Amino acid sequence: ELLQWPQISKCRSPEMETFSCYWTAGNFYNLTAPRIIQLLYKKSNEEDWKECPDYITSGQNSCYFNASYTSVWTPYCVQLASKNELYDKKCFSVDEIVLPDPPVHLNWTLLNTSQTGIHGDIQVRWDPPPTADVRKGWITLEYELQYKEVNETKWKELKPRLSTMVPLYSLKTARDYEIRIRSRQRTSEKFGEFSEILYVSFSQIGIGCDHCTEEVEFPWFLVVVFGVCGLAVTVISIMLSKQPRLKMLIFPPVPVPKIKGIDPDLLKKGKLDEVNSILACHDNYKTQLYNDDLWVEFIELDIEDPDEKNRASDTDRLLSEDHLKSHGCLGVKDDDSGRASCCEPDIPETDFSASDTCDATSDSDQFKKATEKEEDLLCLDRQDDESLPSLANTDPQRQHRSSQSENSHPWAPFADSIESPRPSVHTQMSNQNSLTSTDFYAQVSDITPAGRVVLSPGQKSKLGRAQREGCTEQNFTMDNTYFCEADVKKCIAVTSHEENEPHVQEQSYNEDGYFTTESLTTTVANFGAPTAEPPSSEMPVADYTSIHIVHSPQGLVLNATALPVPDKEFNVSCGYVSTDQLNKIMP
Amino acid sequence: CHTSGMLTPNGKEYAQKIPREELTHLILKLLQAWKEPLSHFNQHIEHHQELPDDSLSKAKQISNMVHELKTGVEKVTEKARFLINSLNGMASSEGTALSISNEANMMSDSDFFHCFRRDSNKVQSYLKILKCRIMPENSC
Repeated sequence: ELLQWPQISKCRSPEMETFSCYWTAGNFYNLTAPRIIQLLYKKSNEEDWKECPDYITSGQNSCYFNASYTSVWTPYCVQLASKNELYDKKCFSVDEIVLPDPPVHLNWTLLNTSQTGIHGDIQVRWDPPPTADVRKGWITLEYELQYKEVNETKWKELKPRLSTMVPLYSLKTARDYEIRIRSRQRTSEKFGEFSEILYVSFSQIGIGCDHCTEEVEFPWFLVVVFGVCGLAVTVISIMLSKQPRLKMLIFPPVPVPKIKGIDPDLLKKGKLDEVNSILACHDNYKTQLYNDDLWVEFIELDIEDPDEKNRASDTDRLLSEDHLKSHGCLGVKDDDSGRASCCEPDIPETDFSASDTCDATSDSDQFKKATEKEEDLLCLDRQDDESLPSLANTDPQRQHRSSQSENSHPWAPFADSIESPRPSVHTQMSNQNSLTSTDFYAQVSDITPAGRVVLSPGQKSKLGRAQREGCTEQNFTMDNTYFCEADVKKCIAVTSHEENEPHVQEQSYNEDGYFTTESLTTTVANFGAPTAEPPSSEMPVADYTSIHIVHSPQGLVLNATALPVPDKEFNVSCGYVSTDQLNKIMP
Repeated sequence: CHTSGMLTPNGKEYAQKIPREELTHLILKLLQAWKEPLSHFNQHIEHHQELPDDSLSKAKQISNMVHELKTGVEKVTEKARFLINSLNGMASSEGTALSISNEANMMSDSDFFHCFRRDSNKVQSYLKILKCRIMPENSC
């Protein structure tokens, strides 16, 4: 065996009024004569060691210090010694070694039982240890209760509490329980000893349910299985059901890319034509379609700006201001009002008045003014004929044609290739074999600033040169965009035959009334349509002339007398007839 | 501890024997003696980064509790009307003297905790006895 010295095992105060120290003797002295072991103690403020006052009260190998010897908050030191040797020493203060006695008088009472009688609630009560003076409050205790079933091994603990009673809920009435309690000083951490075990048996009271031994445990397994099956059945039924609303509620459809107004099924299975037609209905696609057709393009130049005139085709301008220019800018003078360059839809009314005034003053004067401007441009362009093949053909023929084409502004679909100046419209028209069946097209040779389209018949720029010169002398009396028919006719007479290129849709435009009557008449005249009689140059020719005879293939015979004025908005000057004039002219 | 020199009853019997006024005096003296060391300690540990925030808040909480306890005891004694003003004032002055003594400032942290725990235990026990003596019930 190992040799063990005497040791102080512990010092303990149960109520903070007395304390005891316990030691172990060790096996050292079994061999030899038993020596006498003493316990000496000393307070911190004392010098001498004193012997234990009571070796008996606390039992063997113990020393008991009663209240008179105990100073609670005073540091003590005790040592275990024999005559010569010091075995062990310990220092402490009494308030630190407080370990209360266990509670006494444990008992339990039944609170209630469940309806099935399987479970029950009980209340456990006890008394504090008698040694501790809890009533005066010298010491404050808290208690911890532990319980378990009789055949279990692990105790269940409740948290420490100050009260001396505690309820226990949901105890199985069929089982017996064991309860034990221990206490500690409130400010300490160590617990005292456990109390005696309290046995709880429901059968003693008479409510024990021996035959209720079967454990009605919650059938978790069955619940899970049936829950999964039910859920699966529900899901399948929803998916298979024909009710779209319910289906959508549970399984909301995933949004697919959609084009507004287009059935996606059509895209999957539909024919290409159908799809195209549908897509064409949407504005987004319209421009695409139009862009593919060259004859849709419009070219528009502003006459006030010579630089602009040299600009390339401005499709947008033409498209957007097509209507405006045709209506509002016909007779706009190049004054400082600024209206010439920016025509607004409401302007036509005022412009009309302006054109009236223009007409009122002197047609020829206005024409001259306009002509001068045009002439400058023409001269400019004439010199740079080669360099500007596609723009501003300034020779008179072109001018003439431009005027014609300006008149026929809504002759929208014209090829924008601007070539040699020609009285395209007339020539081409006359060249038409069947006016009724074919469409007439004209190449747009130029665009005046006012927005008139100058049509050119073909590619022969050089050919037209000689002809142009013939027309240079012409003093075109026109206002802004239109030439006098008489002057134009002279130019046309000079021109030789020219090929015709794009065609003019005369039929359709006749509806608009936008037909350039001069062009028609002169065209007919030029190519020697015997039946056509060009009106005299002196005579102011109305904008519009009803078609008298359609001589196929020679051309049209216009009714010179008829003056249909389709639109009041058309400014009339020189070659144009104002409403007043019209009214006079009209029968 | 800086309050070790105080003569305080070390047992329940002694606490029951001394007059209530003296007991109250002692209680107030003890509480006052810890006012300054507590604030000093709070300032001291605020600079300690290694301490968790719980400790800092707890220390402050304890300081507040001590102060409130002292205030409460003063109110109780005023209501009880058994404390002479001179005694009351003496308790405060003595406590203050103890509070700002050198011993209070020189304490280490471990001594601080040990001493504070002991004195708080004292105050608690004395107050319990005092309560029983002021409001006598069947047991006291």
